Amino acid sequence: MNMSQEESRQTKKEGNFLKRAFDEVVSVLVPALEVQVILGLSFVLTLLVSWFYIGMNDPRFPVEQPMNIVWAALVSFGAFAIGQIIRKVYPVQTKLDLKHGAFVILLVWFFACSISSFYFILSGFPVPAQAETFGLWRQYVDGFYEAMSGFTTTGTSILPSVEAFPRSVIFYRSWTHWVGGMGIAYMIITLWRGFQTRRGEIINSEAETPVFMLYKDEEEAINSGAEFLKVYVVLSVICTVLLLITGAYFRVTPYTQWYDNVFDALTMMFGALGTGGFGVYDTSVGLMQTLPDGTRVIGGLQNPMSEWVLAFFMAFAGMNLALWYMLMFKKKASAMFNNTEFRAFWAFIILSTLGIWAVLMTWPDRIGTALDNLRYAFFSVTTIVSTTGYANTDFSVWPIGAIAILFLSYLMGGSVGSTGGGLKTLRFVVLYKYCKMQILNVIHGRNDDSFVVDGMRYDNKTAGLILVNMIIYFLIFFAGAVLIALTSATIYFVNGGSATMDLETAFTAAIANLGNIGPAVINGASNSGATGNYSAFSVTAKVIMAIMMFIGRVGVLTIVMLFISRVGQRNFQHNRSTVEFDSDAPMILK
Amino acid sequence: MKILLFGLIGSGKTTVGQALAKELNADFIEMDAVTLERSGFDSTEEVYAVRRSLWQELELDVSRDISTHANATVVACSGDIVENELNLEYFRENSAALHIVYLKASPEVLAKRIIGSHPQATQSDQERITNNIQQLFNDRNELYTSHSMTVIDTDNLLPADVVKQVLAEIQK
Repeated sequence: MNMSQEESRQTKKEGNFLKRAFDEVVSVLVPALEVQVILGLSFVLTLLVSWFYIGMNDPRFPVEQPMNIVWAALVSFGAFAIGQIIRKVYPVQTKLDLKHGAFVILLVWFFACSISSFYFILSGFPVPAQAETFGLWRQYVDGFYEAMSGFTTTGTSILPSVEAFPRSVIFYRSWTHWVGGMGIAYMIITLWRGFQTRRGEIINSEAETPVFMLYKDEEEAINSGAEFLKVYVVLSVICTVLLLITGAYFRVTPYTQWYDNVFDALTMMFGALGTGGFGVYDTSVGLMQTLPDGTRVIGGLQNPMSEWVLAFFMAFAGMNLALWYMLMFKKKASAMFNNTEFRAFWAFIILSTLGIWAVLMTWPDRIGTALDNLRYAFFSVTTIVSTTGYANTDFSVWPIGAIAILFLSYLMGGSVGSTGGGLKTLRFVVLYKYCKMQILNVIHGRNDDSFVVDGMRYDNKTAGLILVNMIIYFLIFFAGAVLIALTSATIYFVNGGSATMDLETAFTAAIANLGNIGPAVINGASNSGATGNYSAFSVTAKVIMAIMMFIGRVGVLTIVMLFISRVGQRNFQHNRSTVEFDSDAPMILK
Repeated sequence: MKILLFGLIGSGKTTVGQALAKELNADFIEMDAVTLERSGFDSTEEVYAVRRSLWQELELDVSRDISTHANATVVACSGDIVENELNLEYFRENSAALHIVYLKASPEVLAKRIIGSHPQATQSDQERITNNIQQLFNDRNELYTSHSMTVIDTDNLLPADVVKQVLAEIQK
């Protein structure tokens, strides 16, 4: 009697547990599927581009394959439809918490990259002419890597040649930067008011901030997204217009067709504002190019003015967009100029630029005038510090002093609330203040335990967590470098050649991927620098680098959130109290 | 900016605080609820009465954390916040633009409100409540008054009017 009672209780408990677990899985899966609607919309946009080029029938570009886009769009909308159907058939009441939010983001990115990879496989990744020789697994990983690189706004490519692909594929690649700059889920749940899952937790997992933001309610989460999107769109429009103007009037050799200018301006803007860095030319923005007759000319956009525009907008996108919002919509310039992170960010850019410029000017092999070299220095610093990864010069052949200064930018990264990746300037500011506080404590025998940065007080606990975050970031950097060296000891080029991996390549590739930057600081044996690509790395190394890009994009903290316990969550939510309670009550009613 | 609302139970800290936060587009934090949540106890367990040392320690933690909260915040303070000076010291040190407002209500009015929300209370319960409130008022009134910058007599005011008065006081 007793036994059976206990047994039945146990099975009931197990049943509940299974049902709860199932509910949790569904509640995570459904929003992740629904978010894929943004890919469907992106493919619709790509289809329009494709149709435009079919209409133009331009012999300079490879043949458009609109059916690939239609298939990819169907898959994305299919994922969305499945999500909607599950929600209708099996409505789950599980409230999304921080842990679920982290899992949603993990799934969203996995699905988005896989669907994009599907499109890329159809388009013949990595080399359309000989796609069959690579095998499906290699093609999938290459496509996945490229998509991850796009959405994380890294901008590393595994394509030996970009120009071998039709315009629509190139457009879609760059477009992923613009979406990923804001965040795949962040963008769609801001636009889609009817989204039925708690937004705050999802945004928190996707946006990379040193401490977690907690939104009061759904309205506040939507508003924060709307503010971001407003600034993002305004900056994008200004950037596009400036690029159109410079493209039309300052190009070395004028565009043959008007739509070339529009295409370049749009795709370059996507990369600059998303701080991504996929080029539309094999020569990126302005690398030197050798023509068939042997003359060397400036390639890419062929336009120093556009390079200046891009350099500034990459830096703008690397700033906290909330400061831009204050400036544009609240007319508060002081908020921007009094911001410590803003000052540190620009001080870093200006000092590195001047440092590199000084080194370049004393370099006997330098190309161009002083102004040209200033442009190279400024562009290279902003492209790396904002984690974009465009190139207007091959910085891997610079003197070692200039490379060393530029390598500092690799470690830095953009600002909090920007579209950039990396460790973010704010963390270094916090680290600086923390070190200063601790050292002054030792010197003067003080007991300070907190300090203020930009109106936010950091105590030992928060600053310690940020420090731990940085340490883990560097550990991942080293571990990634070692893993890349282990798994890709020999590199096989697409054209059949091979080379041996060297330590520098492994390390610079690791930081370029983890920091969402793109080109490695030196070319190395694999030719992965400013002029090269990552096509020669082994498949395993590409998977590792894709994971590193993801970690670099969402931040170490989101990965930690995958394992957070209930008690841990309560600590994060301490100011989101739901119960009403007055501690006087027991005194009164006793 | 931080606005601390003092007051005994039933003086309208929560009602006024929520309205005020909405008006100022600030966060609203109810200290007692946060402390309770951190204690891990249930509101029916009388942790406050049974484990006073634990409660006060947690309260210090909460004060410290709220005082470093980055956004503008309206805090409905715990009733016994004034009993430990350190709580307020955290706010004075860490929070720029601190306003402390005491929502004063006479013990008779408070007792009426509390009895009103406990319709099942017997005659002896009501007397006990009235006595307890009087006791608590005597203990705390002076402390509240001396620690706050503004005292608002809420006996004959509606919550909306109190909000207006607080706003006027802040703008000064």
